[in-house]
Amino acid sequence: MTISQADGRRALSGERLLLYTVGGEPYASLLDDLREVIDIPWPHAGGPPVIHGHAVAVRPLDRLLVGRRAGGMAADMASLLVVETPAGWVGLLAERVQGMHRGGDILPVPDEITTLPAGSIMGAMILGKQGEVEADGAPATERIILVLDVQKLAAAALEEEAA
Amino acid sequence: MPGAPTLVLAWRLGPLSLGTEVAAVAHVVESLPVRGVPRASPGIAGLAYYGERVLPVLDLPRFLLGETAHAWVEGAMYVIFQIDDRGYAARVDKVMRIIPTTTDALVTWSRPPDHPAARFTRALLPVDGEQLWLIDVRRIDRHLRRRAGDPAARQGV
Repeated sequence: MTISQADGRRALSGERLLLYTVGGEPYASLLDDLREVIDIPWPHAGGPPVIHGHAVAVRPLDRLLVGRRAGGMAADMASLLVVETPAGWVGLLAERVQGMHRGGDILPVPDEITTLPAGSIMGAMILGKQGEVEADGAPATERIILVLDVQKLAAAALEEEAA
Repeated sequence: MPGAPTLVLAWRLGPLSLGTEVAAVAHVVESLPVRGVPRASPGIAGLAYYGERVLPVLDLPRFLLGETAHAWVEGAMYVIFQIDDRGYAARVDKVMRIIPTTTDALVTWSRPPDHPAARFTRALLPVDGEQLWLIDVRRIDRHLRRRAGDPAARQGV
């Protein structure tokens, strides 16, 4: 998928992005696509988490992103990004949530820049532009964060489970 | 009957003298901070933020020299290509000049050499006693898209 210029430049002012890490690398997703974000102990013990009465199938995000079983999350606590899809509830396990950021423009980038599954990149966000400051007041460091389509990744997790 | 006039932007990458038709060149800029991206494709060095756009930066040494690393000379430049609605930046050692030519002056190999750049080369242009390899950036674009599984990417390189 290549998002169009029009789609890529849709203004997100007023919306929020959830920033998180997978395999030590930063990503973001539209908060609207997520139903819940919870912290869980990992390795996960016991049955699947039950959220709003639904048993959530938990899938490590890095397994989906690199196409292999996760080597294991370093953190004792991991964040579960819960997504509701037409086929069911899926929890995507991220390393940790870094915070939220008020959205700006999502700029279009072609899918082939990474080896992530086709269609999983919504675009790129530029954080820390000149003049912005971090939470501690220090000048922000400019960085580019890929915005993932967690709905598509959740659907991929369910397909993988079904296969 | 003479061929249609065309302009070629000549540039250098390591030991190779290369050229691109200026129709594909949007800008040449001196410096461009490149940021790495997660799970970058082997053909991509990272992303650059330029003029309110995010551009993938091509890993030209990988494509054209078959090298995974390259000692960039001081003052390297970026050539920004526009391919259909997609933009790319490519870091090069040096931009040499713009050469007016005609399609009649282009020559091709009878047998392409076994060189990584040969698959992305459309033709050769004899200039000042040396051969300028004319790179077709559309072939690089197609190569990336096909590897990403884009069914619309046509066959060929």
